[in-house]
Amino acid sequence: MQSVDTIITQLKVMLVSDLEVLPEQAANLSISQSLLETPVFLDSVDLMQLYAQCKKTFALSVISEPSFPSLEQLATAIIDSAKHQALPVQTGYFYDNQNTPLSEGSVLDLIALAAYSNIDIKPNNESGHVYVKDSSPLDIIKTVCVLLSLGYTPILSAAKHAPNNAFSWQQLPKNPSNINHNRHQLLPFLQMELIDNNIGFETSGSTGTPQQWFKSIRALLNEADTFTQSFDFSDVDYITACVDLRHMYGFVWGFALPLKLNIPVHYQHSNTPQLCPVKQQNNACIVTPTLWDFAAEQLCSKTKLLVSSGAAFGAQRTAKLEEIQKEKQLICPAIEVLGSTETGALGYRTLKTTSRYFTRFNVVNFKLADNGQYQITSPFLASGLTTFSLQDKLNFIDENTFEHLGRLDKIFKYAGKRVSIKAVEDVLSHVFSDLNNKVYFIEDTRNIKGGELVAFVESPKLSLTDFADFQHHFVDLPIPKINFIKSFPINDMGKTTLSALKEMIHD
Amino acid sequence: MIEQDKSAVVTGYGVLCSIGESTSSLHQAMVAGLSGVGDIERFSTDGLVNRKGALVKQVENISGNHFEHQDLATHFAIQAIEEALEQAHLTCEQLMNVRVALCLGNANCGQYSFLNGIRNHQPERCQFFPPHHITESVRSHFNILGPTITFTSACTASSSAIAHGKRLIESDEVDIVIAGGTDALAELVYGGFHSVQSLSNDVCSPYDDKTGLSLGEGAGFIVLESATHAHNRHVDIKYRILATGSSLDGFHATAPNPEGAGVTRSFKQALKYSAITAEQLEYINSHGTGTPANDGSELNGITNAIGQELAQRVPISSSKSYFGHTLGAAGAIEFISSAVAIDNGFLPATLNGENIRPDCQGYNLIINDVKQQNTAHFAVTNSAFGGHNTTLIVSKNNVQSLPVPTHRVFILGSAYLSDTTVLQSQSSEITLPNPFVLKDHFPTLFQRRMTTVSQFALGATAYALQDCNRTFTESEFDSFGAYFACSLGSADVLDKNINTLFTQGISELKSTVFPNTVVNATLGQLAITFGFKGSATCISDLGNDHLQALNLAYAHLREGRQAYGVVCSAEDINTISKTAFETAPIEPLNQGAYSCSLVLANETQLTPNDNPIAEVIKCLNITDSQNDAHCLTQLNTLQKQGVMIEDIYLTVLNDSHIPSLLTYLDKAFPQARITQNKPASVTCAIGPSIHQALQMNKSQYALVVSVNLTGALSACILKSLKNKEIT
Repeated sequence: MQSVDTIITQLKVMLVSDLEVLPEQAANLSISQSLLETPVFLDSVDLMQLYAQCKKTFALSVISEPSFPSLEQLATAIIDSAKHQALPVQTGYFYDNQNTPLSEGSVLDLIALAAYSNIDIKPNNESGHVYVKDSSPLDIIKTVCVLLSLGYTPILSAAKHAPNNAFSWQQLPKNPSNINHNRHQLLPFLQMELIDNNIGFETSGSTGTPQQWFKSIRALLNEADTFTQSFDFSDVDYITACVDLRHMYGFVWGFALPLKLNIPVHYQHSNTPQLCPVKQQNNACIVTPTLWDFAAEQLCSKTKLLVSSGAAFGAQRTAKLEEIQKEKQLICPAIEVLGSTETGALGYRTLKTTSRYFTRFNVVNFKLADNGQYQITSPFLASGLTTFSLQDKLNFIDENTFEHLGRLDKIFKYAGKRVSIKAVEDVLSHVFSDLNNKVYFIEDTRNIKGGELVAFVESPKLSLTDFADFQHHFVDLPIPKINFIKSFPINDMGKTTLSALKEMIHD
Repeated sequence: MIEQDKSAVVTGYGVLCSIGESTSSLHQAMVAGLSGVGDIERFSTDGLVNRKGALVKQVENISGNHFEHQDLATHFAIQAIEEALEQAHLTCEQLMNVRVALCLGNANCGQYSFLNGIRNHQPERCQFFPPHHITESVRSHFNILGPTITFTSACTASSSAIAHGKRLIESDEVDIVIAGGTDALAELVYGGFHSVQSLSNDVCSPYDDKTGLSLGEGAGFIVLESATHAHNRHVDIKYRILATGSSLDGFHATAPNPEGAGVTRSFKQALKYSAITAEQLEYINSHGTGTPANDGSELNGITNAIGQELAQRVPISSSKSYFGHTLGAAGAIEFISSAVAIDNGFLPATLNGENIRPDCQGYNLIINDVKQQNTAHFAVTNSAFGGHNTTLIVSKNNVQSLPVPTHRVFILGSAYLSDTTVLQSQSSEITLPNPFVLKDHFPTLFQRRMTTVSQFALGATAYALQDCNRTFTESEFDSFGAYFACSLGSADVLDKNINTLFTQGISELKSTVFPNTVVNATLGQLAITFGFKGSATCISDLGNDHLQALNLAYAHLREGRQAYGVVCSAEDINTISKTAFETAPIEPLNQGAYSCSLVLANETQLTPNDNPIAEVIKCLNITDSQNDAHCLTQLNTLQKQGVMIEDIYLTVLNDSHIPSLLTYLDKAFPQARITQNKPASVTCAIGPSIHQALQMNKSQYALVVSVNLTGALSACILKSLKNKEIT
């Protein structure tokens, strides 16, 4: 590196050539005088250009900008910056959308620190449930692992505001030195020490009231294991996870599966999801239908498997997928997974306009009960369940292949009578033709009728006064409380929930 | 008789941006919290630290991919306008039967075409560079025959376009206005912002401690008409533009006044003309770029305008994290994002927020998730390089606009400046011994790195102020508005920048050059140098620039927005500007620089000691000087109003228009003497004609007419007051 005097001479040349300072002013400039003052009166834009030119001239990536910008101070800063040029390289396993890495080792270090620090965590209840405060994926992983290791049950919820007693790994005390431990990999640690621990997933549910489903580490890893056996990941270098880890679907595919496959995962659940953040490598992309709408055009030959779940993919999206595959000449297997938080995955289907049948995962068993509902037995069920009654209508073509025909009609008791939700929906479809509608029966034991029957009709223009005389259509049926909404709200999983609908009608 | 409601209402809007090609996809993306910011692939970002922007996806699918015939920004605009017209239930055929104006905001000019033209040795593509060419292309596509105005005040361009559209409707000059903005992101602009270290490498997070802005592109347009016109057409009124405000900071070329004083003045001006009070506002969509300089100062400005309690209570957000900072289209797209959200019962969020900066805390900011709220009244604020600020106040409810006062407007002084000559209305011609340099004539006004255009603009304005034969105080300068016009911006600086881009690459673009590349940089320079803090605008045309700017100034002063105004146009002619005008059918332009400046005052500030040279009686715009019906109707109307034109001063930039134009003028004003001046330049071509009009002692009325390169006509009627008292 050159001397201070040499650098000052070069700086004076830059003042003239880049900032149009008069040569005589530059020549007579005192080296200790602020450049912001007389005679040159540089402004912030001038300084920016000067620093940029200095970086180029002296081959520096960073210059520590002096608080008092004189020629002498700037020359000294240049010399100091040159001494601190090198930048460390980071590697990891989990990556966020800024490409910030998180290694398994870091998570295991944090777990060791948590055990050592004896931190006081106040669970929500006697069962040791603790809400996870964090919303970014790397933080969620750290907090979940810390809570599990301390014997708590982390609750993951995508609700807007975490409760006041929610916990984050950031509450752990900072320790200047690493705590020794003998763990090297996260998956063996989970399998051997935490296999029966639970993680809670809170959903808004069809009733509008938050529901919690608890899944054991065993169940989650079993599900991921089934996926590794059912689909071909041999050509996949990493997973692009575009679904929030706080949803069970996102957690299994975005956390458990990468661990099982021993490949990195890039989280792209952000405002600007990228399907292929690592351009030179192959990936499997985990999406929801809503996210697919946004990022469809990004599909490229590097994606070796596309997985969608969370809501129905639909015929229109399937057609668009096929169009893109044809245009770009892609051979990208795309599948839709059917399942729910409480049941885990049930089956999958290839996304093709000619294909509407799902294939049962071979460890999931369906048994038709006398009431017409299918009973599920599966290693992916929520904790405490041995079987689960499915609320969906299925049509089995053979032992392994079925069609999903939507939700079963719900029958509820209203003022002592058995009433079909579908019957109410059919009347609304007839009265408000061509408009979407949704009907809910919200149970309430304090209501002598048993609950409240509410309907939402999607219309930008109508109001009830337009239909003062529609009641006569509800022959032998209770008349719901009808709310007109300009458009049904869709959440990030592509679903319309009762709680979101209720929010829209409240001021 | 049913009373006519002339309030300007919005009956349709359309948008194209990085998160959607329509308002419905914009809606879905906002609900899902998605952003269009991503990797830039349209041009090389080699060597840059930041490489993200919010570009429109799949541009090849827009408007049939005829980029060799039109700039990208034109295609964006056409698509957005098509959606707006469809919403307003208007067809192109219907537009032909009503009086329609087009007000378009743009910041980047046609850089996409211009740079590709130079790169690929296709000089014909360079004709798309002037921003007014974009407007003209859009006008031609929709066959709009009314006034066509291009606003180029950078980030306030489209909000200025909307404000002017409101004025045109409420003054019954037209029946329909299509107003908004369009911009295509260009590498010179991206590299320029990068050089001033303004960019974020993620989705921008206004108000957050992750600072930096995300550049975007796109178009947003609204259809405006009077409430009565909308009722008669049986179309829904979506919103009412209740009031608008505009101001200058007079502080810095790129950074806003830290106290937000300019924002305060703009907001207060809008409230002054608004039928609703600040307390009735239920949402503010702020400019919120994500830069440390803007966000806190803007919130300060809003606080000082509406009071601390209200500023901390009303929900505020910036939509820029969804689709980036779309520059010339920003005001319009952000207004439309607010409208789309409010239509669906929510308010837009500011995305990617984690830790609010200290200077932005204490406000009711909507962060990350949209807010469910039924909203009736809201405001939209924007700020631009050069220190221009705008405010729009909007309502969903049936609120009539307040009547606007009218004042008489006078010219106090004028100057026309070229390299060799200074013409003032009240002094003899000055011949300059050497080409004009500001430092030699007005050394206290000169600043290092000042462009030729700025030097000439400041010089002409200084001469025009001298011509007023009075001294203005600092507080009087605070009451000056500034109206600047320039066809291209600084050709010198553009030349330097392009040279750097092609020889050294995008990463070598200089931060000291970039602020001067925006067309309205000189507007900011005028404000900083003279201390102008009133309303402002920047206009670009292809020859009618000065008279268009005079039209805006005249309107503002008539409304009493401020007492004084400077109307200034300037240009430098060099290889770059000649390339841009190469295909234009005019005589070879004289190399050099030019500027015209007028000092105006309205009657509220005139004293008996003032000796105005002339009164501005009327300004008018006719898009097609070849079109019989429109031309004659406008000119005949003037006759019927008792305006006896005795002298006509004419400057025509397209010789083919002269014969028919002379015929119309002769029919309309058979008694008038017609003097034609050959244009020496484009932007300031009208200078000598104005000077001649202001010299007349004997005439009562003079008509000053300019016809631009496309055949559009702008005119103003001046009533000479030389040696006469005001009657």
